[in-house]
Amino acid sequence: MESNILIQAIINGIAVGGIYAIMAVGLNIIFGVMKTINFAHGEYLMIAMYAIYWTHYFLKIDPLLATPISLAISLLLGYVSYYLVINKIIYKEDYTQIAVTMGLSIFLIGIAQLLWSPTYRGITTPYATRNINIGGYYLSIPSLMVLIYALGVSLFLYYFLKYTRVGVAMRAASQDAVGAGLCGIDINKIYLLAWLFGVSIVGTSAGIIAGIYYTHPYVGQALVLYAFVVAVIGGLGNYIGGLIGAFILGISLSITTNYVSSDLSLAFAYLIFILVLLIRPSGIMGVKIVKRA
Amino acid sequence: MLKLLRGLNISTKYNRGYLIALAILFFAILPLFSDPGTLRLLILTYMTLILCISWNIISGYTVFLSLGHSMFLGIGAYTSAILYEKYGISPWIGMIISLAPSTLLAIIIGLLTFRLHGAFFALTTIAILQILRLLALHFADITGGSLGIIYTPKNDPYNFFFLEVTPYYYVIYIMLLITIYISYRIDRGFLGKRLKAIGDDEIASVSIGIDAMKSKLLAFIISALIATPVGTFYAQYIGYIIPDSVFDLGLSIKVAVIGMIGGAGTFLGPIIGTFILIPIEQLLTIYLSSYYGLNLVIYGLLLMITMIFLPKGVISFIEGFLRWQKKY
Repeated sequence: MESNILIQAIINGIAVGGIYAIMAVGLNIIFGVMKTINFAHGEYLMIAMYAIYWTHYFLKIDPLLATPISLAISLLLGYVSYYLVINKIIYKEDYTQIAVTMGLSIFLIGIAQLLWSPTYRGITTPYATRNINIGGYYLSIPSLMVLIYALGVSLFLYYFLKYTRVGVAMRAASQDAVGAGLCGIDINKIYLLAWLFGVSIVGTSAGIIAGIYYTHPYVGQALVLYAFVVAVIGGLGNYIGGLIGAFILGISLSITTNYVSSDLSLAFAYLIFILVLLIRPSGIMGVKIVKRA
Repeated sequence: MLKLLRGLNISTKYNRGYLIALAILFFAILPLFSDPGTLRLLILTYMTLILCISWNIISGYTVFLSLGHSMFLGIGAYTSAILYEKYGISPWIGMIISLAPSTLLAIIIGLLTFRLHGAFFALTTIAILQILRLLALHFADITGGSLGIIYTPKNDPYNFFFLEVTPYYYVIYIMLLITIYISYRIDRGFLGKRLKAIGDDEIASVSIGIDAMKSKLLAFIISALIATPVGTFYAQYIGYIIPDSVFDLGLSIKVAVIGMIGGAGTFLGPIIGTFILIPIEQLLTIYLSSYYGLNLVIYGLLLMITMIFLPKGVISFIEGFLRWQKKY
């Protein structure tokens, strides 16, 4: 009986981990290539979730079918914000980058509150409460979709970065931007591409996530805090590490929720974060980042 | 306008001394002829300003951006409140006792993250803030949980309770003057010079013999020592504290935004930032309160614009203007 609960907790943890993984993969792509921590990452998800919500509200279609619209909107938003804001800070120090992306995040939260008020808006889908049965344990349909999406995106990125010319160029730019530039790679295009990749990963996931979480102006901020933890556990900039980190975090949170207390689970997540900083700041898969000073 | 500025001759040292003394005196006698509403607004401004100066000492001079600075506010508020509620210790003493946990916390965070990429410090301060908030919510038998700790209004000066606004005004005013003095001494003194050097180029500053770790730790401890008493003041002045009001991520970010817009790493930056943004915020609350979220839009826009076009904040613009008008 005891082990049953534990296994169910682990399955739940993996399901939640999928959401963190989606957030962290985009964050890592952007950090890996541009060396910028995108503090506005959650807000792109938030805007995309609003796109889903309103499409669902007005056209009465399933949130999954509204995904192209959320993707289009997040690409547009990503493109515009890249040219107006991000473009100007890529070569600045990280202090400015953190400040400006944070400003972007505050700005987008403000816009969302201004246009759509802080109300919590939920979408009910017919499959939201349905589960599938795996040998006596349960996994909800939305969680399954999250998992498939997270793994699919990771696999796609793996093949993209490994086997396509653009992917190789991207990896080159992430290793040494100047060297890659000298070899004829258009660094600015690579940066734009990395940014749009990061943004569109969360933009596409909004169709699934809007069916799980309520849509409200702070939803992105709440989720991105987990994504930061995940990204640090896995090693900032390393998206496979991020994937593993997401499942580690998801499982350990789910176990803490079951056995200790549900309201302390986020505190536990941050405790893991601090332990990682203490033991291995570069994360489980990351490269050494300790500055010798 | 230019003539007027030159007529004041603010660059001469004597006159500047007189002006400062006059300003100190003016704000000291202000309660005699102003209504409680104005005083409340000024108290809010002073609290924000102290937090902002405290933030500036660590995050302005170095590149370590603190995004969880209200953790010290919360520690100050909760330590003194719990000591008073459980053991009857006067919040005046609690205010001093609360310096110990925040110093300890500053040392722990510093030792953990000062050797890493600047982003880790930012993320760690957010993490610690969230941990503290969740702990305060969870251990309800000590902290009152989400209901918080509520004081009944009474007049008891020994225990830091006043019924009028004026005594609170003077308490925070004295705290502000001490803070500004400390900030000035740091800015002009050795610590400030070391911190600026570290902020410019850490490796170069270490190679000329600056102990970067020690300087950063010292700065962070001073920063914590300045911010913590504001927490006690906040608890006494507002009369009740809940985890979401003192361990507030939004407030921490606001403090950082004000500092960066005013000009991080300068003595006057936080002061200018506070006196630009608090009035804007108040005007928005008074006239445009139906447009919920507009203050965030303006904060975000101002932050992006200043950081992109004036990375050293509004103060660099003012300095540039003064230099430009001197030429003519």
